[in-house]
Amino acid sequence: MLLKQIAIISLSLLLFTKELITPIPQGIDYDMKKALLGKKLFFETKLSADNTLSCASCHIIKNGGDDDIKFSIGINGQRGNINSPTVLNTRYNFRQFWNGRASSLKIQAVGPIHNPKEMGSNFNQVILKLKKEAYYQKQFLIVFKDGITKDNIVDAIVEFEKALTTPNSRFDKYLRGDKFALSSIELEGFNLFKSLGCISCHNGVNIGGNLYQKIGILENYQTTNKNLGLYDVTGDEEDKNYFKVPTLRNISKSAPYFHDGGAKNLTDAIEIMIRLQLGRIPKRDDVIKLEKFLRTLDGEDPIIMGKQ
Amino acid sequence: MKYTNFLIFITLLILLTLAKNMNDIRYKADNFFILSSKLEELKQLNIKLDSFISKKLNYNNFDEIEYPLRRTKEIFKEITSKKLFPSFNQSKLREGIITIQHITDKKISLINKNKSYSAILNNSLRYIITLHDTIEQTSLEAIFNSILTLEYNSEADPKKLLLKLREANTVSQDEQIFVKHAIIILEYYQKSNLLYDKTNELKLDKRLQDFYNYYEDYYYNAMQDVKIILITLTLMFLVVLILLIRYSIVITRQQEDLSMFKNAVSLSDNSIIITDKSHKITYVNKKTITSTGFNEDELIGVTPKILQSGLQDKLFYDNLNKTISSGNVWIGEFINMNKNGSLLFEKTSIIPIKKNNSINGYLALKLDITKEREIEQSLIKKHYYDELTELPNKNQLIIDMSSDKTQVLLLIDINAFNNINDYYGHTIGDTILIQFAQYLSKFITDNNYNAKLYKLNTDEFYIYTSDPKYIPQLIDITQKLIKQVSLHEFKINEFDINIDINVGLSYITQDTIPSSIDIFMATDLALKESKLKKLNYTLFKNNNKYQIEYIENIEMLKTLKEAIKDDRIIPFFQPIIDTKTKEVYSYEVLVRLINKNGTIISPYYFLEVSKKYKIYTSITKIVIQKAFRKFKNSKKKFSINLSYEDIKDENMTKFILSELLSYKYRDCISFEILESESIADFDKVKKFISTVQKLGCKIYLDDFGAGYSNFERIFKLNIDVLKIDGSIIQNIDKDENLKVIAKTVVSLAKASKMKVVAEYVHSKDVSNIVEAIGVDYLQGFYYAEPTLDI
Repeated sequence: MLLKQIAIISLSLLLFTKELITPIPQGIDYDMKKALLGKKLFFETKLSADNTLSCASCHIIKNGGDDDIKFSIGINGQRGNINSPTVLNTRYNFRQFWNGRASSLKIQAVGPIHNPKEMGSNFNQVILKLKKEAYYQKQFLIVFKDGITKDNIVDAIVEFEKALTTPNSRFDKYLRGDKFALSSIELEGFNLFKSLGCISCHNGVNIGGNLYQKIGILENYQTTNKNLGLYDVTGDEEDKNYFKVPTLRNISKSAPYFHDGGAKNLTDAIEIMIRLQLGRIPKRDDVIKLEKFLRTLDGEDPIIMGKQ
Repeated sequence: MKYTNFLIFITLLILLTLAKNMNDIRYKADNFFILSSKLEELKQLNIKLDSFISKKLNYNNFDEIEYPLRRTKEIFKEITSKKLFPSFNQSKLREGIITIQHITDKKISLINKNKSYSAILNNSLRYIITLHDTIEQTSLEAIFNSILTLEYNSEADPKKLLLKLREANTVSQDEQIFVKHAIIILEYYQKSNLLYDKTNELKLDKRLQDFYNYYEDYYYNAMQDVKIILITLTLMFLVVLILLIRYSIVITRQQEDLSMFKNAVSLSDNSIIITDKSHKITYVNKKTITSTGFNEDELIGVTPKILQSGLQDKLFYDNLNKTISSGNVWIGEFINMNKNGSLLFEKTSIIPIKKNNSINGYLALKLDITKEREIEQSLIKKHYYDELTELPNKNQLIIDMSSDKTQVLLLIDINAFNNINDYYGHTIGDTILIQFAQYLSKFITDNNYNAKLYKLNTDEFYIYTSDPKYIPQLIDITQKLIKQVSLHEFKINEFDINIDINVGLSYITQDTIPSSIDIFMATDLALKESKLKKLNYTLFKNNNKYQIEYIENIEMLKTLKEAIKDDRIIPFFQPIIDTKTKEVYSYEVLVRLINKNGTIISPYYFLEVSKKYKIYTSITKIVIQKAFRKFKNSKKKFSINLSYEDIKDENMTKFILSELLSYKYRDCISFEILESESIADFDKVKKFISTVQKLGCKIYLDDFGAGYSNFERIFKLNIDVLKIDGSIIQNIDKDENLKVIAKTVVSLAKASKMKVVAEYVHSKDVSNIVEAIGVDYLQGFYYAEPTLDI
């Protein structure tokens, strides 16, 4: 019995003494010139085969870093098969893409440009197009010794993406010690977030984005979507339906939710998560409180985007 | 030099190797420290990873593990980067790194899985703690307890618990949920354990440590090897350096010597040529260039054949090559040719330059002796050739005839050539000699005689042949020559000159009896005879009387010349006695020749010869000088004999006068003149007599009555004293006729106021007789012999 008491106490203590979430740093390091070039490229439709799409087409920075549709639309009106993840705070993710196939932003950035269902282009084309632009000719030479190259294009875009952090959310302010930054309901929501166990997967600076987790642990996730997550990368049976846990920052702006966009709104998503992942029956009161808490995770727009 | 170059090469090689090794060492050391620090970091990171995995039942901020994971990946990226990876030049090292990287990747994916499992596990674990209050079934309560203490109870078996849970009857919804979560916990607990075991099986910590140890060993071994190499190289370098320094000292000294030699060689008055072993010229000094006229570019690379004149035959060069190619020094004389084609006489030493017993080249040391040779040649020419006519001379003839058994010789003399010289002058005389020489040559060639022409003295030529066939026709040829010459007119300027020749002939055949007279003397005698006999030619015959006379004359001439040279011509003095007082009136100075052995020779033996060979006056001069010196400060009278040869010679008379003028007691001096037929120019004699008489001297007429005497002429000469010839006095005591002649002479003299001397008074009887006749003075052995001293 003694052992049991010790176990319970130690487990409970761990939960409340250790801060599992950290605020987004207010000052971040990035190369401003390079990032500004990356910003231009990020909005450059010439990166797509038919000059219709840019990175920003699917990653609307002012709107949670993604689009508002289930699946993004690529060139020639092609529809993708996975919900576009946010481009905000990606530098804090341990891997990129839902299935985590990219170990870094640099690897990730190449993906959509080449994907025939997305921008459907390739770098040779992109370089040729960019070289015709006096701006790029000049700007690349300012930033890079060797001018316009694939690596340099990717480097610039990544540098811009690194600048896309959203600090100073109300919750971050709370974490930094501003006890009045959250309302009592929001604070109750945060306590639920911890006690229900959401925090077991959504932790760290990005409140998620630092592990794979199976969608549908105690109940299977019902979907028609063919994506099987990490399994698509490793081929390991064990890895089926393991996806990168998404960040909860700016979550109020990034509906629809989940890899298949299966949850239209935040409430639905919270309920599904409580049932499937935590194996509990969601209580209406709890869901509201959690939703209120989650909305405190909206941060400021990235400084690089300017004030509007 | 090659050795030095080799040493320098070795030094550089060692230095390069050293530098490369040093660089290697630095590179290796750098890499070792970089890699070992990274390995150390990996070990630390691994500890963090292990501690993360071991905390199964903890809620975690997975960001915390993210840093070690990312850092671990980064480190491998760095190690396997292009910059660092190739430095692990041992494949085992590279394989080791790649293996560890692979294992680390596995471990990282295990850790990532563990994150998921731990999240699930912890989540359910915390939930059942809140749920268990609502659990009423004791079986479930027991399972709950077991689950809570799973971590601390090694005997608890998750599988058994799972079976129990699956069989459990659940009443309430809470119980169902509880069972559901309990199953999840156990399942993921097992999974987590499995991961834990798998992770442990990877033994990354041990592998890292092993690799680290291996690498460290490898590095230290490599360093050890390098250290040995370094020490060896440094020692080698020092040894080579010492050798180099020693050699450089030697070489500097050698170079100093060498530069001294080089300077000497280049400035040497000797030509110096160095060739390689194939005789190609590699060096010439300045003198070579000035003496050959070729410049350096023309000489370098070619063989010295370029200098050959072609005057030396193949045998000469073969001998040379044989000598030097066998390694010996050759000394000899080259007759080379310079660029202008002039001959170059070079006294040469060729020295093979040896290196390691094989000949590497040759050095020729040459002294230009062209000038000496030219002088020699001209001397030879002078010795063997006549300068004027360019004909070979007697010296050449002697050589030419030396081995001939038969010798036929014609000595041709131009008659009275002195007259031609006197009359036309020497220039024309010389021209005549040249033309005559050409004429004689033409004579020989026109007649196809197998003979050769030589020039002897001024106007004498030889024609010589060794062909015996000419002996029978010798006289005919000679006559023909004489005739043709006498008819030929030598045209010189405006003059037409005829000349006559005398020829002396002589020949020797195998049968000729050897004689003391050689062929030259023979032709000479023959020529003399022809002149004397006024013949155009004479053939020398043995047993000719001229032969003997000639030889005697020659002997005496030789003796006479030696005596003059040795001052052995001495005056003797014989007193002349006054008949009345029987005291010395005067002395006659008589010449004597003292032979080498001390015997006194009378002028009888040498006066004729001396006259013939024109040294008579020289003897008179000696006698005069010595007599004058003898009587210089006394008032003693003395008389000196003069011949016509003396008086006709102007030089002699001038000498006598100058001597007289410087003599104090001139009236003590008398001259005895021999009255003879040979007096050609009587006026000259008369003039001389009157001149000396004016100076106070007296004149004796010697040997009066000996031969033919022209009394009339004698008395015109104004003689002071007559000397009756000895032949009359000598036998006057035995022959009455002689007494009569003597009486007549004395009476004749008295009439002309001349005193009379009787010579050869050798006895009392003779003295008495001549005294009775009335002779004034007596001279002869009865009173005194000629003596050296007075």
